[in-house]
Amino acid sequence: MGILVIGDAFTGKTQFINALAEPEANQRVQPIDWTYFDGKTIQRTSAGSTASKPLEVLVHLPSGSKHLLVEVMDTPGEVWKNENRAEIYAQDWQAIREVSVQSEGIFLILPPYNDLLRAEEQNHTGQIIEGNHSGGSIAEWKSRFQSWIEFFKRDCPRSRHILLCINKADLFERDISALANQFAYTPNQGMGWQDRHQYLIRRHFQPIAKEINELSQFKQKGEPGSVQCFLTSIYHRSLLELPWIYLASFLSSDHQFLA
Amino acid sequence: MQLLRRPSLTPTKRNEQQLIALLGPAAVGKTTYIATLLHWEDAPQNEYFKVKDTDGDATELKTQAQDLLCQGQPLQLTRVREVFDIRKYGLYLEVCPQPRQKVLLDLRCLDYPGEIFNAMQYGDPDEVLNRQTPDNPSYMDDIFRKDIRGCMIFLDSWLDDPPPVALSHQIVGWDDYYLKCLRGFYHQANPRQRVSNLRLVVALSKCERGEFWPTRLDPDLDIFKRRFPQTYAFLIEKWPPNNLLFHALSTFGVLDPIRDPRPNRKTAPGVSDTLRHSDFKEWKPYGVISPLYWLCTGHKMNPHV
Repeated sequence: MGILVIGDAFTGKTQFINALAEPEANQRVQPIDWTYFDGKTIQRTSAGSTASKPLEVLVHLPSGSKHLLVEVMDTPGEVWKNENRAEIYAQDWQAIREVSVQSEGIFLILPPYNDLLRAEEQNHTGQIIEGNHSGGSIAEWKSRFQSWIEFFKRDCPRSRHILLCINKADLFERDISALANQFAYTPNQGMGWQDRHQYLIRRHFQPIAKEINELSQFKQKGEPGSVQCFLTSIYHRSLLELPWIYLASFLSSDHQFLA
Repeated sequence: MQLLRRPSLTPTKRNEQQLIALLGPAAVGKTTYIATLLHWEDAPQNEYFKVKDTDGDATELKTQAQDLLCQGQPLQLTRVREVFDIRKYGLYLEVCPQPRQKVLLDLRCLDYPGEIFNAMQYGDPDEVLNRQTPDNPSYMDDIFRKDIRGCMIFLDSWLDDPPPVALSHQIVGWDDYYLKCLRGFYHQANPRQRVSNLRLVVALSKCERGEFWPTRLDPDLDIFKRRFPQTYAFLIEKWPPNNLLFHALSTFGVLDPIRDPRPNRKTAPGVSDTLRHSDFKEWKPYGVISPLYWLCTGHKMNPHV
């Protein structure tokens, strides 16, 4: 099964995956195959280096543990800029296309938009928000998401699950521990997947709520759970694990999504 | 209501296995129904029935019940490419139809996707879906083969959600839709000589809804004759009365049948409804066992179980 991790430059795609390698108490998502994480230094994914790598993780679910054996492709953010696509990133683009048409699960890592960051700046001055972190104004962020929708529709015919993650939640969420507790995966109690999704749709994903709805309608008529929203931060393990737990829930024991 | 104790389930002979076909439109709750039954295997104090999964497909579905249904996520749509993809869920079911009587049923439930039922309104689903090749046997021959003991047809009707309409094919409301599908079902069953010997349960699923909950006690008159008069009249006319059972069932149930009859479900825009309370104390399915017992034995039991 192919899993594609996509997103613009500086959204934290590589860290999003590599942070899983950090051992943590009570972790539900546990990498088994350490060859994926070659060394602790995180280098920016560069041109020509796009290739899918196998990653094996063990996800502990209420029904037992499931092996998630995935081909993960981390993509350099620059490849998504139109002007570069044809030149230095042609090779990467080719590789991405090959994987995207096969992928069943797609992580889209989104940057926080200005309004999210600004609200935090006003309340809390400890953080220095770099320009790189921001996804621009709401209008910019929204129009960028439109082009992702085009990509999903055009290049991902087999995708069953699209996971939208606003990353770097630690930069803007005032009380992220409280949110992490609220979102915590506690089987049979607390929030369910749809509750989390609806909560985020109303808050952080509100500007693109309509687009998300259209995308789920497009994916499969009546198919539940094809687009799911997440808020992630590499400093909060429980939030980081949620998308992986979600994906593993749909898997059968032979690593295939149930038909 | 006589409830079950927890004796150990012992396997019965293979030749006693009963095949049950599940049919109905997409997202009517066929797979969720089986998943719910299987989930009850782990109930610490199982008051209603005792169940055990007997094959890989069933075990797989049980994990889906735990990982998705109980975590507030609907199951995925059942999709197949050919007859061989049809999932067959094996389960032992121990029911207690009367005091001090225990009956062990060895079931295999065949979960046909909704598109097959939907295609029946246009004629032969094998032709409509255009999937029949020499290597790929007919769906209809599969549904109506001799060893299928009974067939359970699930219906629901959401007034704000019109039935699937094709442009060339005028459908007026749910009753008309079900009539056309069931007429197609009859025209497939008749040439295969299955009308006289196939037990048929026509079940209204999701009867925890407010408008149906009070009418569940007499599904013949209060649900089918009133809500689906043409469908009801057609079935009464064509199907032998001793092989036909109208039933109302609810896999999610209500919060409390007496004090709090609100549905045990959560509604969100754009997605299927999800389960509200998933622990065994608060999750009370209604009428899920009695139709299977009737299909296997021909005897009726308490329809609430």
